[in-house]
Amino acid sequence: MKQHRIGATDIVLLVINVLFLLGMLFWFGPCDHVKEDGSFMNCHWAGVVLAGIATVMTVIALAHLLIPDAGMKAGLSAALVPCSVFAFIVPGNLISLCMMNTMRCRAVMTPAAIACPVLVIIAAAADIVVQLRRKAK
Amino acid sequence: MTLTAENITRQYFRKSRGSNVFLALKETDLIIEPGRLIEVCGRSGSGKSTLLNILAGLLAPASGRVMYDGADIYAMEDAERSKFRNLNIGIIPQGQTGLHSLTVLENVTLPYPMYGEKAPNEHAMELLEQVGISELASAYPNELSGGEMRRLSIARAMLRNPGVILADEPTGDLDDENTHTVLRLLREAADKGAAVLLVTHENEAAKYADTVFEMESGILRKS
Amino acid sequence: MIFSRYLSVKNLKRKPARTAALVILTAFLAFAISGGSVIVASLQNGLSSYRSRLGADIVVVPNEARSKGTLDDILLQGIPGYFYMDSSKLDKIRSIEGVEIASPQFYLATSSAGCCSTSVQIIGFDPDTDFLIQPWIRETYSGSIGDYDLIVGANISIPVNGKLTFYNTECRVAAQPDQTGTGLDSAIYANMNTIKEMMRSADTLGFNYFSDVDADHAVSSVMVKVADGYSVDDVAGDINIHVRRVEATQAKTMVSSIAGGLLGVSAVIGVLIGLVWVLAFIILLVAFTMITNERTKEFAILRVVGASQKMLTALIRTESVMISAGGAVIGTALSCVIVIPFSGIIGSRLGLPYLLPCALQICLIAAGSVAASMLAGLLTSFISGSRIRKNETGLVLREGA
Repeated sequence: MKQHRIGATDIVLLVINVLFLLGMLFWFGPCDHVKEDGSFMNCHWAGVVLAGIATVMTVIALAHLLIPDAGMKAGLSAALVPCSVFAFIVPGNLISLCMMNTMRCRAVMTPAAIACPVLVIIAAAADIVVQLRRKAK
Repeated sequence: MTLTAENITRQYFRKSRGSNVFLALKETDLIIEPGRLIEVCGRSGSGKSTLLNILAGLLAPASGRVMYDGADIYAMEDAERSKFRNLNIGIIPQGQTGLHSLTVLENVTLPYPMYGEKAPNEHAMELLEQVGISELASAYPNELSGGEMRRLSIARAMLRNPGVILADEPTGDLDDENTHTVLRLLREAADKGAAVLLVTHENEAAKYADTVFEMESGILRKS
Repeated sequence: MIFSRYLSVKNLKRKPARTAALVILTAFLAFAISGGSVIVASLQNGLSSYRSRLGADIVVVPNEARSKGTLDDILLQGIPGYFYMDSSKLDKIRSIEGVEIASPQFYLATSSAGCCSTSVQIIGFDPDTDFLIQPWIRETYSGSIGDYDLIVGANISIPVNGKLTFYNTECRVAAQPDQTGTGLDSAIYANMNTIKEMMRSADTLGFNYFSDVDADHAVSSVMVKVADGYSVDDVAGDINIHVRRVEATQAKTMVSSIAGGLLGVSAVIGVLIGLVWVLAFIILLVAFTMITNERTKEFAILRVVGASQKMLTALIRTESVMISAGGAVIGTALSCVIVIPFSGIIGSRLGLPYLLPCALQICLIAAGSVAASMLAGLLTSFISGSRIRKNETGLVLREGA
């Protein structure tokens, strides 16, 4: 089986996941408002969970870049799909957010948690096709 | 297939002082019959390549006709003439003539997918074996030397066993051994019935030719 | 043609950096066209929705509300506000000739009701005279709106138990209308009894919103429908003259000022899209022309092997279509993935009514963007391909040995 090193899909997957992680850490996170009793609101914890998922996905994408075996690359891409779905359903479903759609958690964080995972799923699907074709050769 | 050129001429326009019309080929008649290898030699700029390109249907003459078994190729439309060239004329152009995006094998079999036919890879590999580059079948042109590229062109030109082979300096960049291999292949093609025109500086070529012509300042003379 | 596709794929794969650069350029073009078009369409949708939601011919508010722009904040951006005038002004407005219906509305801003860090706008209406809110609500809810029933705007999430509490007044969420793209999506609607109860509670809890106005006799705005045969301009003028310390504004004036702002934003976006298209076209043209010039020898080889001029033209066109189609789809998909989910923040940053178009309209915009991007690629291939037709193969081979 012919093995390949770094291809376009490796780079695209890594870039999207790194942007997702940086986004959750610095640009798209929820507001840092606290409740009257000093505790964090639900959306804070949703942001923490999303940052955690993004970290895991970034590590998977990095492994995808470094591992040359086409079959393993396809498997790693497949693993990104349920991670993305999980990220998708955290805000507003698994963890409830603020009431108003105009709040940062709903207006910024949730769209980012939709956009990035969707892009990851599309890139992962394309990568699986590419890797399986390489494996067949 | 008999190749006949009747009274062909060709001029070029030069942006220089004095006359800006340069007559590259003066009134020329030539017949190449099947089974014959004709050599045309001469200095650089004498008009040899111009003659070959006109005979190949790639350069329209200013006057005259070029006929293959009586059919005037310049009376055909471009599409018809191109297909005719694909099927019946094997051309070995001057210089490096591999397509950068195709492997050596794909370059050699190029005439087939061009018109939707399946490439005869086995026959192509045999030809590559004969010209000595079979181990480079999966390589790309940028990995080949000048001589290897030239041999690629030769294999491609001979793949369809064409009725006419036109070779423009096919032994340039080749060592002695490969030069003889190529000349021998052209001789064999002629012996099998092709009409072969060989344009060359190579002194050794005369041994393989039936007739030798000399080109000087656009005028073709028998040696 | 099959051969052109075969060779095009090989050519594009063999020069990945060049192919990627051209695809990215076309993707950028498609992104700008589709993203910009969705934004413009959303603004137009929002304006249309704002116009229909405004409904009244004249809106009457206390002077302070108009001068502070508070009403615009409420209607456009959903920024909670409150202002009051004595309900006797309602009677005076009703007595003006030409006023067919005058329906009061009451605005209350809640405290951060334990749900989030912001207050929420509550709008009370009089069910007997209201001609704006109830028809809108009836588009999605056919039941009646009783005491302690709330209609919740599309931007507000309904709690699982379907109940909301404001100023210690527990209410039931009865319905949620469709999005309007205006500040009304961030508001909650209740009948006057419910809101008066909340006002009393608010007063008891020490929230002093009402200054010198008696809470039981206070209204925030009056929505006026002018009778047939009367000029809206004249009636508004009469209200301004005869009812003191209020501002009567024609709804069409409010709409036209928004429309003016929208026109400006749309024009800027339109010009930017046009500039991007022209710039991308020029860059693609230069790139394709350079590539075609570079490949003169390659085309000569193809002619030697038996390719016709038509085949060469088809080859260039196929490569261009592949690049521009790939870039167009990527750019359009990327813009949809970004512009659609982030529509909320885009709308609030623009400060104008903003309502995403329906799925069909978005699909049409996407298709148009792909077509426009591919057109740029096709035109450039046509122009650069014309250079091949001028080259005589024999001359190229003679020169390029």
